Amino acid sequence: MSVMKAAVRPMPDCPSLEALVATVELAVDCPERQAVECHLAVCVTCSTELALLREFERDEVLPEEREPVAWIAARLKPMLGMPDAGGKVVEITPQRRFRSWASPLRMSAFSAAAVLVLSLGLFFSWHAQQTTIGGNEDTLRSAPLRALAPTGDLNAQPEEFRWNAVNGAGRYFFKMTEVDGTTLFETRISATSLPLPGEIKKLLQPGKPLLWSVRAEDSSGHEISTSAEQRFRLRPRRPN
Amino acid sequence: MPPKEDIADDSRGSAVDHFCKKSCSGSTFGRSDTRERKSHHDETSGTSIGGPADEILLAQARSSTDLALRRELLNLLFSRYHIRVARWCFRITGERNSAADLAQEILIKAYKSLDFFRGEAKFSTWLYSITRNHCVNESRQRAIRCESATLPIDDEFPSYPEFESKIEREEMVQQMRKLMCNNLDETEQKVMALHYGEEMPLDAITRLLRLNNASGAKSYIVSARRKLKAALERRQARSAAMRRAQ
Repeated sequence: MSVMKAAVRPMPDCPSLEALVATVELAVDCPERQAVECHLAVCVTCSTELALLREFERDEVLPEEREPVAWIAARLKPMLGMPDAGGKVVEITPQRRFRSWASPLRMSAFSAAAVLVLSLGLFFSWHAQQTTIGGNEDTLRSAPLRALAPTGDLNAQPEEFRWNAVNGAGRYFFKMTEVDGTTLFETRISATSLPLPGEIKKLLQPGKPLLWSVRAEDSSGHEISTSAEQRFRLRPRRPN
Repeated sequence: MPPKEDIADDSRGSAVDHFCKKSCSGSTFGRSDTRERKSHHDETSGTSIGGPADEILLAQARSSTDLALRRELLNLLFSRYHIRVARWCFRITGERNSAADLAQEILIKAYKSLDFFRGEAKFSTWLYSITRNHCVNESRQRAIRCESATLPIDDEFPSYPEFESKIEREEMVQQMRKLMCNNLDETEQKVMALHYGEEMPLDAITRLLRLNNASGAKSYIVSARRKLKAALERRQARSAAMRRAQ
């Protein structure tokens, strides 16, 4: 990792945002506040974090943001029990969210895609019938493989890595990398979970993101399906 | 600002009004005082001049056994912040439909996570943390989908393998932090922290920090790297001169 990247990541002595705000807002010029102000003077991460919080709290919508923000706010009103444009108060439901998603343009595109998929499906179905008549070779369909856990920010070291089973899979190829693609660990396993390897435990540092993925292979080692890459990290330690 | 009447919460039910009247010692939350309440409660800033503080409102909601009242109180609490969440999401995504979906996800996530709010921070700080984390994750996912990459820096600055000991690495990181604080202006520091620390795409940073220059965050990255490289070279030259003098 670049030294510069490391320099903009949280330090072990960075206070939590809550502690940072609470101390900065202390009216008295106490030693705690002085210590936090000294820290802010040398920590780009914390000073940025505090500035962004202030920006969030600021009562200001730019002129060019007025119309879209008012539009978004109107979309949020029903879920807050506020009346929408028609004066109705409607709780947000999945169906309503779908309606908000389903703009005419999107629906047209969706319909066109559905027709295309259907046509292709019929064509390949017909083609398969033509080419496999009398044949007896096995056909393996690729099944979706999903890397289930861990993902996102974690409070503690994960116990294991988990993914779903895929039909026809003889074993799974597990791979863990740095965010820059450097391989840290890889192994093959027949189960759908892998206890956290010792090599990885050493690499898990608070704030350091890691990526992992898994590939299902048949008994001959041919790929059946590959999961999307998942990202996780231990939440940065921020002692008060 | 969006029109105030467009975002005013004059639809609050009488249950909330009654509860607040009873428990907020004469606050102006009565239904008949809707107009007065509008003028006292600043929705976009989240400060509730005439109403109970966020934390009090939350405590009242938590202690309420009436589910409808509890929901109304929580709706009132969240309606103080929905504009700010909307604004933040719009700055991250730059597109209203995605921003609306993102804002809904954030509010639902916060609503469901309320039990984890222990009151050690202000409600606004807690909600900001959720908004920020959700938006950062979303912008990273978008960057992966769009195959946009961070600007490379390893070609100009030393990376870890070049240092033999952990102490040496840590010293170099500390020195780089000092160089950043001493040589970069506030905007450059923010852009560097968001792009390299949070891996946020440049276009999202440009919108979030409201950078109006032609090339947005990218020019701040270029300028910061140039300054840091020059500062590092000066420092190395000074160290070499000191070693020669010894």
